[in-house]
Amino acid sequence: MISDIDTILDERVDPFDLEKSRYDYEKQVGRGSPSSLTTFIYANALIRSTKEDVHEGINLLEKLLHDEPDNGAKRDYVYHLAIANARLKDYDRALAYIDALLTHEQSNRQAQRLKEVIEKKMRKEGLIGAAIVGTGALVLGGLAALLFAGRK
Amino acid sequence: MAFIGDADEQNNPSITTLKILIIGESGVGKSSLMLRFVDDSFDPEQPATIGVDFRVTSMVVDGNRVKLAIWDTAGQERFRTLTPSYYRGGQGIICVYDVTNRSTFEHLDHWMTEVDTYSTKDDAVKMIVGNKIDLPNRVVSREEGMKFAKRHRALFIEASAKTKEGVQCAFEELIQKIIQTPGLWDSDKPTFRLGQQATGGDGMCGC
Ligand SMILES: Nc1nc2c(ncn2[C@@H]2O[C@H](COP(=O)(O)OP(=O)(O)O)[C@@H](O)[C@H]2O)c(=O)[nH]1
Ligand SMILES: [Mg+2]
Repeated sequence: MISDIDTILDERVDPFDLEKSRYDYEKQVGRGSPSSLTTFIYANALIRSTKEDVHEGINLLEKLLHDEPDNGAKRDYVYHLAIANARLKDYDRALAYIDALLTHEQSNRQAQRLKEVIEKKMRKEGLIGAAIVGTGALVLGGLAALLFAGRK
Repeated sequence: MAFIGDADEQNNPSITTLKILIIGESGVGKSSLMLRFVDDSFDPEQPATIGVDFRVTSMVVDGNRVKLAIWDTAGQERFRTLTPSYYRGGQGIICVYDVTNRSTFEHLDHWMTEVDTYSTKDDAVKMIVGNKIDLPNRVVSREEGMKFAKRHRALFIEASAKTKEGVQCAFEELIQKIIQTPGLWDSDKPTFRLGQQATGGDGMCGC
């Protein structure tokens, strides 16, 4: 792993870790349905890999999120979905996910910082603008309410 | 020693980037120590870290600007299997316990084993931090902490992320020690090992 990176978005997976998590995941798939932990570990490796892998990682995370009853685990999936979508430059979705988390945990600095990092990246790429952010809100409107619904 | 902003990178480019890891049981104050060090703030309701958090900052040690990449790990079961890769290339490892919670101290053995198993740098500098010394209900004495650190050839410091006490000092001492360990940072090749042992162990920090 390279230590000379500036943000969490620059982080890249170690090829060995990716292969190992893929092996574990596929072994479990072969036996039936993989555990959510094994799936999460694999997804987490995928989203730090190539564009194609990131897409696959997002699919797995979305499925995990969909099937997850526990809010504690949901926040992990939502946070990593924000990172993964930002890596694909799908900033609308990235922001929608991080905003969903921030609605739930307003003072979470880790989440606030990820949002800043994403917005900084958008500005760099000349993408910042109300229109774009607005679209994101439309695309995933009500995500926060849906995601963390039913909390005690 | 002082912090300098990005603008100074041109005048005083960093000589190296150091990878620092913060490990330990959930709730001992790992994220709070990082927050205090990087942002000089404290959140009494610090939420649990999601997976791995990462901050970049820099400090000047002996006139040399050093960039720090600080990795804060969640420590929860769900993420434990993710951690091995985070140890890779780590030059400094801060292992935190809570002085008011004995089980977090007792778990240090486990964490040190993990460090020895996964750390790819034989001579990575280890530091034990006893946190939350501002609280009145301490159950782990300073002597116990010191003894443990000595046994593991680690630096030792007691701190409070809440009151700031010892926090700056902990990082300064750690970074200084890393810089003083030849072969630990002055080679770009992470697989290249000199097998050098960190010598000494007494603090350089005047605070
Ligand atoms: N009194 C006191 N509380 C602290 C200190 N450091 C952290 N805390 C609190 O302990 C809790 C856990 O801290 P956190 O940094 O999230 O621990 P982590 O799980 O190791 O990252 C939070 O409520 C913090 O506000 C400290 O030095 N003194
Ligand atoms: Mg934490």
